[in-house]
Amino acid sequence: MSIVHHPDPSNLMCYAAGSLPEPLAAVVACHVSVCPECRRDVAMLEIAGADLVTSLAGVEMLGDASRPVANIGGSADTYAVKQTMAVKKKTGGADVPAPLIRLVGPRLDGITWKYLAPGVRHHPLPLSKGAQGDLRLLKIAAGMQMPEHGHGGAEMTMLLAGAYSDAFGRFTTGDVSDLDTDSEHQPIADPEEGCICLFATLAPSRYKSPLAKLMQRFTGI
Amino acid sequence: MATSSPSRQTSQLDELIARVANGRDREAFAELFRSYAPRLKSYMMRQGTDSGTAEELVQETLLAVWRKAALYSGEKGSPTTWIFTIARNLRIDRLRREVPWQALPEGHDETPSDDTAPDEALSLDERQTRVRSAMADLPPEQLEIVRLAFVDGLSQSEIADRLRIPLGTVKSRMRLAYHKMRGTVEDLNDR
Ligand SMILES: [Zn+2]
Repeated sequence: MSIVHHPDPSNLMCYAAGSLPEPLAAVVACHVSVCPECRRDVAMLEIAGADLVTSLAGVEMLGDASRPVANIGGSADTYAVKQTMAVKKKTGGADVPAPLIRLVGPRLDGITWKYLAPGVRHHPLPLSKGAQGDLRLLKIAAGMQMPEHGHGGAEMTMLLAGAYSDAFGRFTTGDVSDLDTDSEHQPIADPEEGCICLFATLAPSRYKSPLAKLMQRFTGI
Repeated sequence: MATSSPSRQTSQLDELIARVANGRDREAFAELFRSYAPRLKSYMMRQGTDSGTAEELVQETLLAVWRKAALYSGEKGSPTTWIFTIARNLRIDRLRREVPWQALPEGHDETPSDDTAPDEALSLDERQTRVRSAMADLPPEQLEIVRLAFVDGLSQSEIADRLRIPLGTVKSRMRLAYHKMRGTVEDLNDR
Protein backbone atom coordinates (compact mmCIF):
# COMPACT_ATOMS: atom_id res chain seq x y z
CA MET A 1 0.00 0.00 0.00
CA SER A 2 1.54 3.30 -0.99
CA ILE A 3 -0.23 6.10 0.81
CA VAL A 4 0.00 9.60 -0.62
CA HIS A 5 -2.81 11.51 1.09
CA HIS A 6 -2.86 11.80 4.89
CA PRO A 7 -5.22 13.48 7.38
CA ASP A 8 -4.55 17.12 8.15
CA PRO A 9 -2.00 17.52 11.00
CA SER A 10 -4.56 19.47 13.03
CA ASN A 11 -6.82 16.41 12.95
CA LEU A 12 -3.98 14.06 13.84
CA MET A 13 -3.35 16.32 16.82
CA CYS A 14 -6.94 16.22 18.02
CA TYR A 15 -7.02 12.47 17.45
CA ALA A 16 -3.99 12.12 19.73
CA ALA A 17 -5.69 14.41 22.23
CA GLY A 18 -8.88 12.37 22.11
CA SER A 19 -10.86 15.49 21.19
CA LEU A 20 -11.58 14.75 17.53
CA PRO A 21 -15.32 14.28 16.94
CA GLU A 22 -16.21 10.61 16.73
CA PRO A 23 -16.87 10.11 12.98
CA LEU A 24 -13.59 11.83 12.07
CA ALA A 25 -11.75 9.94 14.83
CA ALA A 26 -13.01 6.70 13.27
CA VAL A 27 -11.48 7.60 9.90
CA VAL A 28 -8.19 8.66 11.47
CA ALA A 29 -8.09 5.44 13.52
CA CYS A 30 -8.53 3.39 10.33
CA HIS A 31 -5.90 5.38 8.46
CA VAL A 32 -3.43 5.18 11.34
CA SER A 33 -3.91 1.41 11.41
CA VAL A 34 -2.43 1.18 7.91
CA CYS A 35 -0.09 4.23 7.81
CA PRO A 36 3.21 3.90 9.71
CA GLU A 37 4.00 7.56 9.03
CA CYS A 38 0.89 8.88 10.73
CA ARG A 39 1.26 6.29 13.49
CA ARG A 40 4.63 7.81 14.23
CA ASP A 41 3.18 11.31 14.15
CA VAL A 42 0.40 10.37 16.55
CA ALA A 43 2.98 8.81 18.88
CA MET A 44 4.96 12.06 18.72
CA LEU A 45 1.86 14.10 19.55
CA GLU A 46 1.05 11.76 22.42
CA ILE A 47 4.45 12.55 23.91
CA ALA A 48 3.43 16.20 23.88
CA GLY A 49 0.07 15.40 25.48
CA ALA A 50 1.66 13.24 28.16
CA ASP A 51 4.02 16.05 29.00
CA LEU A 52 1.19 18.54 29.41
CA VAL A 53 -0.74 16.16 31.67
CA THR A 54 2.35 15.27 33.72
CA SER A 55 2.94 18.98 34.29
CA LEU A 56 -0.54 19.58 35.73
CA ALA A 57 -0.88 20.57 39.36
CA GLY A 58 -2.53 17.62 41.10
CA VAL A 59 -5.97 17.56 42.68
CA GLU A 60 -6.09 15.56 45.90
CA MET A 61 -7.77 12.15 45.76
CA LEU A 62 -10.34 11.89 48.55
CA GLY A 63 -11.29 9.16 51.01
CA ASP A 64 -11.19 5.60 49.69
CA ALA A 65 -10.13 6.79 46.28
CA SER A 66 -6.83 8.01 47.68
CA ARG A 67 -5.66 4.40 48.09
CA PRO A 68 -4.86 2.07 45.20
CA VAL A 69 -7.59 -0.49 44.60
CA ALA A 70 -7.21 -3.37 47.02
CA ASN A 71 -7.60 -6.36 44.72
CA ILE A 72 -4.58 -5.86 42.49
CA GLY A 73 -2.31 -8.67 41.57
CA GLY A 74 -2.63 -12.37 40.95
CA SER A 75 -1.61 -14.34 37.90
CA ALA A 76 -5.22 -14.20 36.64
CA ASP A 77 -4.63 -10.70 35.26
CA THR A 78 -1.84 -11.67 32.94
CA TYR A 79 -3.73 -14.78 31.94
CA ALA A 80 -6.80 -12.77 30.90
CA VAL A 81 -4.69 -10.50 28.75
CA LYS A 82 -3.01 -13.43 27.04
CA GLN A 83 -6.43 -14.86 26.16
CA THR A 84 -7.36 -11.59 24.46
CA MET A 85 -4.18 -11.72 22.42
CA ALA A 86 -4.97 -15.19 21.15
CA VAL A 87 -8.37 -14.03 19.91
CA LYS A 88 -6.92 -10.97 18.19
CA LYS A 89 -4.37 -12.99 16.28
CA LYS A 90 -7.07 -14.75 14.27
CA THR A 91 -7.85 -11.88 11.90
CA GLY A 92 -5.25 -12.64 9.24
CA GLY A 93 -6.15 -12.02 5.58
CA ALA A 94 -8.34 -9.06 6.49
CA ASP A 95 -8.76 -6.21 4.00
CA VAL A 96 -11.00 -4.22 6.37
CA PRO A 97 -8.99 -1.80 8.56
CA ALA A 98 -8.56 -3.23 12.07
CA PRO A 99 -10.78 -0.70 13.90
CA LEU A 100 -13.73 -1.60 11.65
CA ILE A 101 -13.44 -5.38 11.84
CA ARG A 102 -15.52 -5.54 15.03
CA LEU A 103 -18.36 -3.83 13.17
CA VAL A 104 -18.33 -5.33 9.68
CA GLY A 105 -16.05 -8.36 9.83
CA PRO A 106 -12.61 -8.78 8.29
CA ARG A 107 -13.51 -8.93 4.59
CA LEU A 108 -14.83 -6.17 2.35
CA ASP A 109 -16.58 -8.79 0.20
CA GLY A 110 -18.51 -9.93 3.27
CA ILE A 111 -20.17 -6.56 3.84
CA THR A 112 -23.88 -6.23 3.15
CA TRP A 113 -24.84 -3.17 1.12
CA LYS A 114 -28.05 -1.20 0.78
CA TYR A 115 -29.15 0.84 -2.18
CA LEU A 116 -28.59 4.58 -1.76
CA ALA A 117 -28.71 6.07 -5.26
CA PRO A 118 -28.01 4.77 -8.78
CA GLY A 119 -24.49 3.30 -8.72
CA VAL A 120 -24.12 3.96 -5.01
CA ARG A 121 -24.61 1.54 -2.15
CA HIS A 122 -23.95 2.14 1.50
CA HIS A 123 -23.51 0.51 4.88
CA PRO A 124 -24.23 2.83 7.82
CA LEU A 125 -21.96 2.53 10.87
CA PRO A 126 -23.04 3.11 14.47
CA LEU A 127 -21.87 6.06 16.51
CA SER A 128 -22.28 6.65 20.22
CA LYS A 129 -25.47 8.29 21.41
CA GLY A 130 -25.33 12.04 21.01
CA ALA A 131 -22.28 11.92 18.72
CA GLN A 132 -22.20 14.70 16.18
CA GLY A 133 -22.03 13.80 12.49
CA ASP A 134 -22.38 10.69 10.39
CA LEU A 135 -20.27 7.68 9.46
CA ARG A 136 -20.89 5.10 6.74
CA LEU A 137 -19.24 2.93 4.14
CA LEU A 138 -19.95 3.78 0.51
CA LYS A 139 -19.55 1.48 -2.46
CA ILE A 140 -19.44 3.45 -5.66
CA ALA A 141 -19.71 2.01 -9.14
CA ALA A 142 -16.96 2.51 -11.73
CA GLY A 143 -16.99 5.97 -13.29
CA MET A 144 -19.65 7.34 -10.92
CA GLN A 145 -19.42 10.90 -9.83
CA MET A 146 -19.31 11.14 -6.06
CA PRO A 147 -21.10 13.79 -4.02
CA GLU A 148 -19.83 17.29 -4.37
CA HIS A 149 -18.81 18.80 -1.10
CA GLY A 150 -21.78 20.54 0.41
CA HIS A 151 -20.16 23.25 2.55
CA GLY A 152 -21.95 21.80 5.54
CA GLY A 153 -18.94 21.03 7.72
CA ALA A 154 -15.75 19.01 7.83
CA GLU A 155 -15.69 15.70 6.02
CA MET A 156 -13.16 12.92 5.73
CA THR A 157 -13.03 10.01 3.32
CA MET A 158 -10.71 7.02 3.42
CA LEU A 159 -10.35 4.71 0.43
CA LEU A 160 -10.66 1.06 1.41
CA ALA A 161 -10.58 -0.40 -2.11
CA GLY A 162 -10.43 0.85 -5.68
CA ALA A 163 -9.67 4.48 -6.41
CA TYR A 164 -11.08 7.89 -7.18
CA SER A 165 -9.73 11.12 -8.60
CA ASP A 166 -10.52 14.76 -7.98
CA ALA A 167 -8.83 18.15 -8.21
CA PHE A 168 -6.46 17.08 -5.39
CA GLY A 169 -5.19 14.02 -7.23
CA ARG A 170 -5.76 10.29 -7.31
CA PHE A 171 -6.77 8.47 -4.13
CA THR A 172 -6.12 4.78 -3.68
CA THR A 173 -6.41 2.29 -0.82
CA GLY A 174 -5.33 3.84 2.48
CA ASP A 175 -5.47 7.44 1.25
CA VAL A 176 -7.53 10.00 3.15
CA SER A 177 -9.22 13.05 1.73
CA ASP A 178 -9.51 15.56 4.58
CA LEU A 179 -11.52 18.59 3.63
CA ASP A 180 -12.20 21.83 5.41
CA THR A 181 -15.63 23.32 5.30
CA ASP A 182 -14.65 25.64 2.47
CA SER A 183 -12.98 23.16 0.12
CA GLU A 184 -14.80 22.16 -3.02
CA HIS A 185 -14.25 19.04 -5.03
CA GLN A 186 -16.09 16.47 -7.08
CA PRO A 187 -14.41 13.08 -7.07
CA ILE A 188 -15.00 10.54 -9.80
CA ALA A 189 -14.72 6.84 -8.96
CA ASP A 190 -12.13 4.90 -10.91
CA PRO A 191 -13.56 4.02 -14.37
CA GLU A 192 -12.44 0.38 -14.04
CA GLU A 193 -12.79 -0.64 -10.40
CA GLY A 194 -15.01 1.97 -8.75
CA CYS A 195 -14.28 2.28 -5.06
CA ILE A 196 -15.24 1.45 -1.50
CA CYS A 197 -14.68 4.18 1.05
CA LEU A 198 -15.28 5.13 4.64
CA PHE A 199 -17.09 8.43 4.67
CA ALA A 200 -17.40 10.71 7.71
CA THR A 201 -19.14 14.07 7.94
CA LEU A 202 -19.68 16.57 10.69
CA ALA A 203 -22.41 18.40 8.79
CA PRO A 204 -25.05 19.51 11.26
CA SER A 205 -28.28 17.70 10.54
CA ARG A 206 -30.74 20.25 11.77
CA TYR A 207 -33.18 20.05 8.88
CA LYS A 208 -32.56 16.69 7.31
CA SER A 209 -31.21 13.35 8.38
CA PRO A 210 -27.59 12.73 7.34
CA LEU A 211 -28.86 10.02 5.01
CA ALA A 212 -31.35 12.31 3.27
CA LYS A 213 -28.62 14.91 2.84
CA LEU A 214 -26.27 12.37 1.38
CA MET A 215 -28.89 11.07 -1.05
CA GLN A 216 -29.60 14.60 -2.10
CA ARG A 217 -25.95 15.11 -2.93
CA PHE A 218 -25.86 11.99 -5.09
CA THR A 219 -29.13 12.50 -6.86
CA GLY A 220 -29.19 16.29 -7.01
CA ILE A 221 -32.84 16.29 -5.99
CA MET B 1 7.64 17.04 43.44
CA ALA B 2 5.71 20.14 42.42
CA THR B 3 8.86 22.05 41.59
CA SER B 4 10.71 19.36 39.62
CA SER B 5 10.73 19.52 35.83
CA PRO B 6 8.60 17.22 33.66
CA SER B 7 11.65 15.30 32.51
CA ARG B 8 12.77 14.75 36.09
CA GLN B 9 9.28 13.58 37.01
CA THR B 10 9.24 11.35 33.97
CA SER B 11 12.44 9.54 34.86
CA GLN B 12 11.13 8.89 38.38
CA LEU B 13 7.92 7.50 36.89
CA ASP B 14 9.90 5.43 34.40
CA GLU B 15 11.69 3.77 37.23
CA LEU B 16 8.52 3.08 39.20
CA ILE B 17 6.78 1.56 36.22
CA ALA B 18 9.79 -0.59 35.46
CA ARG B 19 9.60 -1.92 39.02
CA VAL B 20 5.88 -2.58 38.64
CA ALA B 21 6.41 -4.29 35.28
CA ASN B 22 9.37 -6.42 36.14
CA GLY B 23 8.80 -7.28 39.75
CA ARG B 24 5.07 -6.81 40.34
CA ASP B 25 6.35 -4.45 43.03
CA ARG B 26 3.35 -3.31 45.12
CA GLU B 27 5.34 -0.67 46.92
CA ALA B 28 6.41 0.86 43.63
CA PHE B 29 2.80 0.76 42.51
CA ALA B 30 1.64 2.55 45.66
CA GLU B 31 4.25 5.22 45.10
CA LEU B 32 3.30 5.54 41.44
CA PHE B 33 -0.28 5.94 42.56
CA ARG B 34 0.54 8.66 45.11
CA SER B 35 2.59 10.56 42.57
CA TYR B 36 0.40 10.19 39.50
CA ALA B 37 -3.20 9.89 40.73
CA PRO B 38 -3.64 13.57 41.69
CA ARG B 39 -2.37 14.69 38.29
CA LEU B 40 -4.66 12.26 36.52
CA LYS B 41 -7.56 13.48 38.63
CA SER B 42 -6.73 17.01 37.60
CA TYR B 43 -6.66 15.86 33.96
CA MET B 44 -10.03 14.08 34.21
CA MET B 45 -11.63 17.11 35.82
CA ARG B 46 -10.23 19.42 33.16
CA GLN B 47 -11.81 17.06 30.65
CA GLY B 48 -15.14 17.90 32.20
CA THR B 49 -15.87 15.06 34.64
CA ASP B 50 -17.05 15.66 38.18
CA SER B 51 -14.74 14.84 41.07
CA GLY B 52 -16.25 11.41 41.79
CA THR B 53 -16.15 10.26 38.17
CA ALA B 54 -12.63 11.64 37.87
CA GLU B 55 -11.53 9.51 40.83
CA GLU B 56 -13.17 6.44 39.33
CA LEU B 57 -11.38 6.98 36.04
CA VAL B 58 -8.07 7.51 37.83
CA GLN B 59 -8.52 4.23 39.71
CA GLU B 60 -9.37 2.46 36.45
CA THR B 61 -6.35 3.98 34.73
CA LEU B 62 -3.88 2.93 37.38
CA LEU B 63 -5.44 -0.50 37.72
CA ALA B 64 -4.92 -0.93 33.98
CA VAL B 65 -1.32 0.15 34.44
CA TRP B 66 -0.87 -2.56 37.07
CA ARG B 67 -2.57 -5.19 34.95
CA LYS B 68 -0.82 -4.37 31.71
CA ALA B 69 2.59 -3.47 33.10
CA ALA B 70 3.99 -6.82 32.05
CA LEU B 71 3.02 -6.10 28.44
CA TYR B 72 4.44 -2.63 28.53
CA SER B 73 7.70 -2.30 26.65
CA GLY B 74 9.93 0.60 27.65
CA GLU B 75 11.62 0.50 24.28
CA LYS B 76 8.44 1.46 22.49
CA GLY B 77 7.92 4.76 24.25
CA SER B 78 7.88 6.47 27.60
CA PRO B 79 5.75 5.27 30.51
CA THR B 80 4.17 8.68 30.94
CA THR B 81 3.00 8.55 27.34
CA TRP B 82 1.67 5.07 27.96
CA ILE B 83 -0.27 6.18 31.06
CA PHE B 84 -1.56 9.21 29.18
CA THR B 85 -2.96 7.05 26.38
CA ILE B 86 -4.62 4.68 28.86
CA ALA B 87 -6.20 7.60 30.74
CA ARG B 88 -7.30 9.27 27.50
CA ASN B 89 -8.86 6.07 26.16
CA LEU B 90 -10.73 5.32 29.38
CA ARG B 91 -12.04 8.86 29.36
CA ILE B 92 -13.21 8.45 25.75
CA ASP B 93 -14.78 5.06 26.53
CA ARG B 94 -16.72 6.71 29.32
CA LEU B 95 -17.95 9.34 26.89
CA ARG B 96 -18.67 7.07 23.96
CA ARG B 97 -19.28 3.71 25.57
CA GLU B 98 -20.30 1.83 22.47
CA VAL B 99 -17.63 2.53 19.91
CA PRO B 100 -13.99 2.46 20.93
CA TRP B 101 -12.04 3.91 18.00
CA GLN B 102 -8.99 5.05 19.85
CA ALA B 103 -6.05 2.66 19.74
CA LEU B 104 -3.19 2.49 22.14
CA PRO B 105 0.11 3.40 20.53
CA GLU B 106 1.83 0.66 18.62
CA GLY B 107 3.28 -2.05 20.81
CA HIS B 108 1.25 -0.94 23.80
CA ASP B 109 -1.98 -2.53 22.79
CA GLU B 110 -2.97 -5.97 23.99
CA THR B 111 -0.43 -7.51 21.68
CA PRO B 112 3.14 -8.08 22.74
CA SER B 113 5.60 -5.86 20.90
CA ASP B 114 8.16 -7.12 18.45
CA ASP B 115 11.73 -6.90 19.51
CA THR B 116 13.03 -3.41 19.15
CA ALA B 117 16.56 -2.76 17.96
CA PRO B 118 18.66 -1.03 20.64
CA ASP B 119 19.37 2.00 18.45
CA GLU B 120 15.66 2.47 17.90
CA ALA B 121 15.14 2.51 21.66
CA LEU B 122 17.78 5.22 21.88
CA SER B 123 16.04 7.27 19.24
CA LEU B 124 12.75 7.03 21.15
CA ASP B 125 14.39 8.58 24.17
CA GLU B 126 15.90 11.26 21.97
CA ARG B 127 12.53 11.81 20.29
CA GLN B 128 10.94 12.54 23.65
CA THR B 129 13.62 15.03 24.61
CA ARG B 130 13.23 16.84 21.31
CA VAL B 131 9.43 16.96 21.37
CA ARG B 132 9.66 18.39 24.86
CA SER B 133 12.01 21.15 23.80
CA ALA B 134 9.89 21.93 20.74
CA MET B 135 6.92 22.32 23.09
CA ALA B 136 8.94 24.64 25.32
CA ASP B 137 9.68 26.82 22.28
CA LEU B 138 6.10 27.11 21.05
CA PRO B 139 4.68 30.64 20.90
CA PRO B 140 2.10 31.11 23.67
CA GLU B 141 -0.85 31.29 21.26
CA GLN B 142 0.07 27.90 19.79
CA LEU B 143 0.76 26.27 23.14
CA GLU B 144 -2.57 27.52 24.43
CA ILE B 145 -4.42 25.73 21.65
CA VAL B 146 -2.44 22.52 22.01
CA ARG B 147 -3.22 22.57 25.73
CA LEU B 148 -6.93 23.18 25.18
CA ALA B 149 -7.04 20.12 22.91
CA PHE B 150 -4.97 17.75 25.06
CA VAL B 151 -5.73 18.84 28.60
CA ASP B 152 -9.23 20.28 28.31
CA GLY B 153 -10.31 17.85 25.60
CA LEU B 154 -11.86 20.56 23.42
CA SER B 155 -12.56 19.97 19.74
CA GLN B 156 -11.35 22.49 17.17
CA SER B 157 -14.71 24.23 16.96
CA GLU B 158 -15.00 24.31 20.76
CA ILE B 159 -11.57 25.95 20.93
CA ALA B 160 -12.65 28.47 18.28
CA ASP B 161 -15.75 29.31 20.35
CA ARG B 162 -13.82 29.50 23.61
CA LEU B 163 -11.19 31.87 22.23
CA ARG B 164 -13.52 33.67 19.82
CA ILE B 165 -11.23 33.08 16.87
CA PRO B 166 -12.03 31.51 13.47
CA LEU B 167 -11.86 27.72 13.12
CA GLY B 168 -9.24 28.20 10.40
CA THR B 169 -6.97 29.96 12.89
CA VAL B 170 -7.28 27.08 15.35
CA LYS B 171 -6.35 24.62 12.62
CA SER B 172 -3.42 26.66 11.35
CA ARG B 173 -1.98 27.11 14.85
CA MET B 174 -2.22 23.36 15.39
CA ARG B 175 -0.45 22.78 12.08
CA LEU B 176 2.32 25.18 13.06
CA ALA B 177 2.81 23.44 16.41
CA TYR B 178 2.83 20.06 14.68
CA HIS B 179 5.43 21.15 12.12
CA LYS B 180 7.62 22.54 14.87
CA MET B 181 7.61 19.18 16.68
CA ARG B 182 7.89 17.23 13.48
CA GLY B 183 10.88 19.32 12.40
CA THR B 184 12.83 18.43 15.53
CA VAL B 185 12.39 14.67 15.07
CA GLU B 186 12.60 14.51 11.26
CA ASP B 187 16.11 13.07 11.11
CA LEU B 188 15.11 10.33 13.57
CA ASN B 189 12.17 9.41 11.33
CA ASP B 190 14.33 8.99 8.25
CA ARG B 191 16.36 6.16 9.61
ZN1 LIG C 1 -0.83 8.76 7.01
